[in-house]
Amino acid sequence: MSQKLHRNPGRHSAAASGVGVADECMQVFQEVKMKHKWLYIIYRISDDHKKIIVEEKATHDKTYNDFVMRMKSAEAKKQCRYAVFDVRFLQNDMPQEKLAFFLWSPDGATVKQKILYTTSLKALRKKMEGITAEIQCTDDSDLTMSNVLERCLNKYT
Amino acid sequence: MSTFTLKSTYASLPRTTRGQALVINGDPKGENFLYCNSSNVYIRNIENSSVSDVYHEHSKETTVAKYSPSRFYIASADKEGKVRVWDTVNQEHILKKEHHALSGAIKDLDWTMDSQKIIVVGEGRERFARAFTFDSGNSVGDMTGHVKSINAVAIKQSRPMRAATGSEDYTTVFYEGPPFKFKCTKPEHTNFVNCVRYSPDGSIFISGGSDGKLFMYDGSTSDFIAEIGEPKAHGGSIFAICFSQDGKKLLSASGDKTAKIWNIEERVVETEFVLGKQVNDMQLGCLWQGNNMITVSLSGYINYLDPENPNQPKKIIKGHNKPITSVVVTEDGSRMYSAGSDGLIISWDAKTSDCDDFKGKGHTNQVSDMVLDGDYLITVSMDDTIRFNSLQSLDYGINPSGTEVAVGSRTRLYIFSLNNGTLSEVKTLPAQEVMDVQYSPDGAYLVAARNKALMYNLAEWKDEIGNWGEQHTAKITCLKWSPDSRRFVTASLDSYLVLWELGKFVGEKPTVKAHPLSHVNKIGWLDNNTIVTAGQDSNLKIWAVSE
Repeated sequence: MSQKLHRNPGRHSAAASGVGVADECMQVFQEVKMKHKWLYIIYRISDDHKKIIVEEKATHDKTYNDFVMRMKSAEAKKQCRYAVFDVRFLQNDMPQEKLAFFLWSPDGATVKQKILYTTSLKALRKKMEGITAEIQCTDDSDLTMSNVLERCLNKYT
Repeated sequence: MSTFTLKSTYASLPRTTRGQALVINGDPKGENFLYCNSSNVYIRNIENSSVSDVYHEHSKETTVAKYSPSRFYIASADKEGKVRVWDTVNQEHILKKEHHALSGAIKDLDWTMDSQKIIVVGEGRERFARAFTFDSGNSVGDMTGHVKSINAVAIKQSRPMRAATGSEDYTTVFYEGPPFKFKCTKPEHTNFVNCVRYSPDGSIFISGGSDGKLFMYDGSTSDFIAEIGEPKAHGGSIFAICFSQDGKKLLSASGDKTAKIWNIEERVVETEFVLGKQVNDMQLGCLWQGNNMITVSLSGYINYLDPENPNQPKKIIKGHNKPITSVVVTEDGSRMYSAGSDGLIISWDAKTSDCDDFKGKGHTNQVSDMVLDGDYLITVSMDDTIRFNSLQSLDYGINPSGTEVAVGSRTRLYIFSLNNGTLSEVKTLPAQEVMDVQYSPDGAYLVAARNKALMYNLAEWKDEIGNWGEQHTAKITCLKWSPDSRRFVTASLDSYLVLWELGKFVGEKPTVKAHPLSHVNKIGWLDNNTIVTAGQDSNLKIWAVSE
């Protein structure tokens, strides 16, 4: 990790870390929000620490377990991730659709990664309208489906 | 017929904030221009600046107003995120619709070419912009893409519809629509983006920012075309830009105290206007309408630029943009002097509304009162310390014969006799919160004002009004005797004016508020049938008083 974090401070974004957001991130988010085109999107910060980019957009044949697997593989690389998941569930037999935003900052990630992702969070999060739950996950228990559902319901009731 | 008939309004100037862009908008017909101050919207004739109309239905401080392209409506917005759309045709300005669009202050708004949809931008918690149809308030799109509050918005006035917004997160965002959808972010600026405007034909849009740069983009694809005036268009922040009608030239106003006309095709400066050297000469807003190029200085003064003579504006509209606290009229009623809470003193021609400011080192704080004595204008101000504050509820009047002084306090009215420069107490009358006391010019009566008016006959010291004195619903702020000592007018916090005739309340119960949602600070008589009122809303109004 020898790259400078504060490359061109103030340029591209007003976020504290100076990391910008690629336009693609917003377009994909719109596709999830308006058309439910993807089940989940995983964002990461590019290797040169300049921009937040889309790592994966998953079609609806994937499951929540696949999502957790992806998070785990990021942890194995000692990295963090952002993600948006299109949560669907039944409440009193009524189908509900909620958007959950994840900051995956596992204990195993390097300190630099954690700082970078936390300070750049606002740049991405502020551009997204219509998120029901913002979930900060640091270990497996935060990633369990019951936790995610609980958070989505909490906001509802 | 009501007792007071409004003859004319000498409108206040735009309220300015240092370092913050001011949006003034034009009229599709080229007749008027719009700006805001306190909770009012001003519609002012661009050729004849003494003609103006005031819309005063907003309950909070207004920020921006804009005509619809059809010219039937004006949309005006305020600090609380409210948008009011109202009729321009009738004098009453009937409200068409009110929407609560954002949770914070609105900074700019624009109409689509079909006069159906409005985009408002500004501050907020989660969202900084909203697009909606003005009649139903339905949302038409998702204006996301900014991280911080948005300063400006422009909608392409031709099909296909496009919109661009400039924000404090240093970016310009481009939208396609309707419904408006995020298309892409433009990262060229390195500081706040203060203004974004489309050319009249929609082929390009230009953004100006606090980095002093101007960037030009394609109107329908948002591709970056070029920078205007490389490497830096202005030495300071660019606060406002405006296209000429043919779209070939651009007027820009900047914090470096200059305004410039740019040739867009060649991207070079054509004329540079230097408008002074003081902080107050920073240029915060501009408008190019027909042959008139106007800019607004930090002082609020409106400059009419003259391309033939760039160093001297054709005309400067001066006046107050802070509450007017005092007004005094010359004996012959031809001139009046007004002073504001910022210490500025303006001299007016009472007939034409032509005015000029007092030069030199003036007061640095509110001017509380003024007196004309021959050739001298004597002013008292709160220049200095907090000690002056208590004087506010204390007022005094001197008997015209010069032998008696009346002083009002929070609890009593004191009468002193004045002898060789020493005061000795003659009489104390119980009276609460005396706001103003005044002897009639002929010296026969003394009027004291609190929540009611008290008129004493100086021979017997008896209150001649009695219970009729309670015509106002709130505390009286000021009173003034007519020059012929026959009548006097009181004004109150309830913003009504009441006319009295030698101890009698005359006329009907007041129906017209003199300065709506504000109050009258001072009254002056221009002649026995005309008065001028100075308001907290920074307007001077001239009223005809019926017999």
